[in-house]
Amino acid sequence: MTKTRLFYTAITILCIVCSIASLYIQNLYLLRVFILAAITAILALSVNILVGYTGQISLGHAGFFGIGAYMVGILNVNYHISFWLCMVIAVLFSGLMGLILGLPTTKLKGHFLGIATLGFGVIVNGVLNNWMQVTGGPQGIRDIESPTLFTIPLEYGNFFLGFIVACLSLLVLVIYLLIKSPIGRAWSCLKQDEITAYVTGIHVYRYKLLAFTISGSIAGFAGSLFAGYMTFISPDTFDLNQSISIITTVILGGSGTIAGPLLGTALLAFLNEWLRNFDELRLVIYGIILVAVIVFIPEGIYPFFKNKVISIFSKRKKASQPNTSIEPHAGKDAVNE
Amino acid sequence: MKRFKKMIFMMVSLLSILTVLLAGCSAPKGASESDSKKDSSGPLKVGLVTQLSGGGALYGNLMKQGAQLAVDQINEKGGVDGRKLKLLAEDDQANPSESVKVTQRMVSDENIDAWIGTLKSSDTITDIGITAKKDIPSFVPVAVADNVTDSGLNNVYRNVAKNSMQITEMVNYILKKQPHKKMAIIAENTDYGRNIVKIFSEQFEKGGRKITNKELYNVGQKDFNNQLTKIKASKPDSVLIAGLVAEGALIAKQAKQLGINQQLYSFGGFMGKQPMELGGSAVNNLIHTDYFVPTAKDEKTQSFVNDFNEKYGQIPDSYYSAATYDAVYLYADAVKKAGTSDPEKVNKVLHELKNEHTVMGDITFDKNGQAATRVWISQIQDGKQVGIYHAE
Amino acid sequence: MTELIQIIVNGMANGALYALIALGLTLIYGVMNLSNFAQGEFAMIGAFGTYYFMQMHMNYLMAMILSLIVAGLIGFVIHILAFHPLRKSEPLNMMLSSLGVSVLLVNLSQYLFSPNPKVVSNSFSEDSIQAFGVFLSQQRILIVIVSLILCGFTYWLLERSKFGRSVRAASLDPDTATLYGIPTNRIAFITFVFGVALTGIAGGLTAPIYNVYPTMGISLTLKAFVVVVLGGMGNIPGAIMGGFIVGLIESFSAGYVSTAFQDVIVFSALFLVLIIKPEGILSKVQGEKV
Repeated sequence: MTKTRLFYTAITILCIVCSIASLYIQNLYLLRVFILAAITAILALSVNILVGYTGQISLGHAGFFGIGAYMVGILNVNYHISFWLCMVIAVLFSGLMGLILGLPTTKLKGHFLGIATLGFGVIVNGVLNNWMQVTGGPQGIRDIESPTLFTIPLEYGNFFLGFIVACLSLLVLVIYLLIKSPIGRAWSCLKQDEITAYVTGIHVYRYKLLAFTISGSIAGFAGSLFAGYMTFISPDTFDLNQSISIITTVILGGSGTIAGPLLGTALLAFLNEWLRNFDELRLVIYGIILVAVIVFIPEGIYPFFKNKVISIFSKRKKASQPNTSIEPHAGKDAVNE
Repeated sequence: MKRFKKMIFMMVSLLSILTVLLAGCSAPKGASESDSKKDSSGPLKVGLVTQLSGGGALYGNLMKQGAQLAVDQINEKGGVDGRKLKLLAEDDQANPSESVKVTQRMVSDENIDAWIGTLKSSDTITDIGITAKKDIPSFVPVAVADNVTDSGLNNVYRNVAKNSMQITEMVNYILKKQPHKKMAIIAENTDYGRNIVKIFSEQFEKGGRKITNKELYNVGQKDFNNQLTKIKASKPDSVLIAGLVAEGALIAKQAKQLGINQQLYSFGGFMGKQPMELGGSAVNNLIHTDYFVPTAKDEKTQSFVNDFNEKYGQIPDSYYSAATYDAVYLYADAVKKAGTSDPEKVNKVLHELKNEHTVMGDITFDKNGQAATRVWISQIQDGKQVGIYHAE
Repeated sequence: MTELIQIIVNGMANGALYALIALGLTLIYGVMNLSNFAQGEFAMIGAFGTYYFMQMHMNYLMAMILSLIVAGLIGFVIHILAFHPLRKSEPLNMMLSSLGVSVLLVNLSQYLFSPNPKVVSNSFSEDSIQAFGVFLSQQRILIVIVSLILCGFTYWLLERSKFGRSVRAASLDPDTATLYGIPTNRIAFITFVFGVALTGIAGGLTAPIYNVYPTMGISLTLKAFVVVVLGGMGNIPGAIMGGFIVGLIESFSAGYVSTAFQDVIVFSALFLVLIIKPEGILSKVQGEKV
């Protein structure tokens, strides 16, 4: 227990240090990169609930992201509702959209689900782009109020970063609790094998719907943060590319873990900025790296390195103490024979 | 388990304390905008933000070429007051958050002295919000939406006619010189296309004529038969293409193949040689607005066209290169006149310009930074661009 | 009345093209269980190939054949590098790999060939034939004919030939197929190359009407996916029918509803089909394998 306690304390301190350190970043460019990366990280966490923990695919998460952002934009600019209330409504509404999307699509599997969610993304983007009276069409929505938290104006990048890192930490905590709860166990069970889960008495349909709802609302939360930060939104941000880049982030980092998507976000954000040095070849190199990582480390970067580290340590242990445990497979085979 | 809960409680409370902490402590009030020191002897840095990958790269590259040519020419002549120019071109993928990031990087990391951008009006408006904080002279040579120069910023200059100017010219021309009474519009589904649809149909109908269709297509779309069939069914006597050349040429082609032989109209996208290359005989007789005519007898235009041709092996026949080229020169000349790269003084000089002679015409910036460049009406006649009308 | 017929003709002509691209996609899906997001990029390769071979003064047919070989070769290399190593891993990883390939191919071709659109024209692509006020360009007629021939050929290949039987066996149950002596890996290779070559032909065919540029494949991929899902993934007759259905939905929604909402309507139709018949229109009802 002391070890885990130490671990959690370390993480908590890390979060706090990050939040406070964010107040001292002087470079506005880095600040922007960090804030946008933090928003991407929240998105990645939301996709991870579906892809990593429940075994569902979502190729349309930009749709939820966009719905969250546009709820804030529309309510704030047209109806002058305060940002925080808008945010709550946006989160609830995108959660509701997640539920609605989930109703028909949870019956689908694998590639069908992928294409159906992709269709959802395209439909949302199409509506945002064409429903002129409400969404402003391709011009988007401008002059969204930047939020103020207890008299701290979040229009300053530093405060916003501090705020968003705090949000991210809280979210990580919430997701962690969720995963450790019976809900999380049910999810992981139905990810392994739906039929077994069903036979065990898990209400598969309901738990999938729950995953869609939670995932949608978290993505909507990211969207409302994006709207508050940029103060300008247009449909281009919420297109298929966005959906694809989120799921890429999750899988590259390592789906099904909490650290994976975070690591993936950090690495891809860094890669994106660093590759600017290559001018025209930038996206070519990006494509090559993407393929290479998937081919060589299909399980994701975080699990890969974690296993590496664990194997190094366990080798030492093995060397020090004789192995007394029976190989489980050996026994199984013996029985079969 | 109890301990576990306790710990969770601890974490939550710590995090909430943190938020309160954020509120309480009078932390540094954001990164300051003005503490970076400008090197006054190094090169003058000109940042160019535009789309250099994906569909719009076609136009973004033209901008980059124009800017690079101007920078090279100025440097060959010894730079501005002994300082060389340096062009930093970055790709924004036509994505708002990328565009903002890239612009911010140029402003705070590279300490650019002037900014030029972008292809999309909506991104431009967000970006100039960033450059405005440091008063960096910002040129908008390509994006034409009216609201770019409506934001009341003191550092924004657009050396190209805004959208409503070219639309007004076009409507006036048709009302005066052309008999067409019923027009169908096929427009790209962007703020550019949508604006044209709105402004054009208002003015056109005010002139007592009729708009039969307003059809939209997406950028990157290749098949327009569905839109065109609908247009054909309502029997207009002319068709207006409110889009850029990549799609516009295909529209013209497919219209001919559907048997739509009515007069075609379009806007600045159809300048230059590209429409003929992409559209072949289908774009013949098409009438469009024109900001830049490479064959104009103007001395400045001719030297630009020749130099460009020498460097890149092609005639710069659309305004993308010309206007970006001009923007670099406008900035360089303003620095020369001001004798310093101090943004405040440069901005003052730029606002005081009177009929500065450039490739795009004589430039005078009004108080919003909008210049009234010339707008011509041209027609494509047997594979050549011919200027047919110019309002005085 | 003419308008209605014209709308139907437009829809059918586009549908034939969609069917051709979807054919390759659905074959690859069936055998490799791969949602190939780089499928449209092979149409782009085919189109660029056609353009450059025609620049070398070859005739259109010759250029098309050569470019389909080029598309097949590039597909071969990509299969070795990006898909073959992942054959045992999750389908999601393969899909992601194909996304990476798509980014790579688009940007590489932009780097090599510049983003400027290029024009391919053959002797008949400019003209169209006309009957009762309905127009159809000759190039589109060619597309419809070639597409129908290739669809028929592929169907024959799968249903009647020995090779087709092994493909079907491999797609039904790779492990059992291997036990029966079917070289599933080799089948996967051949299918992938064949599938992308089909798409390459589609690229060469569309080049004269759509022009040639690096990003041309992206929207084709999306359409092909809709078609494939509508028809049932891995289902050849389904893909052909799905192609025509999507073409018709598109032209009718543009003609009678709104051109701006065209994509929204197509994808809504897809949703509807998925809700009512999740396995695709033409698929037989299949119990889940336990």
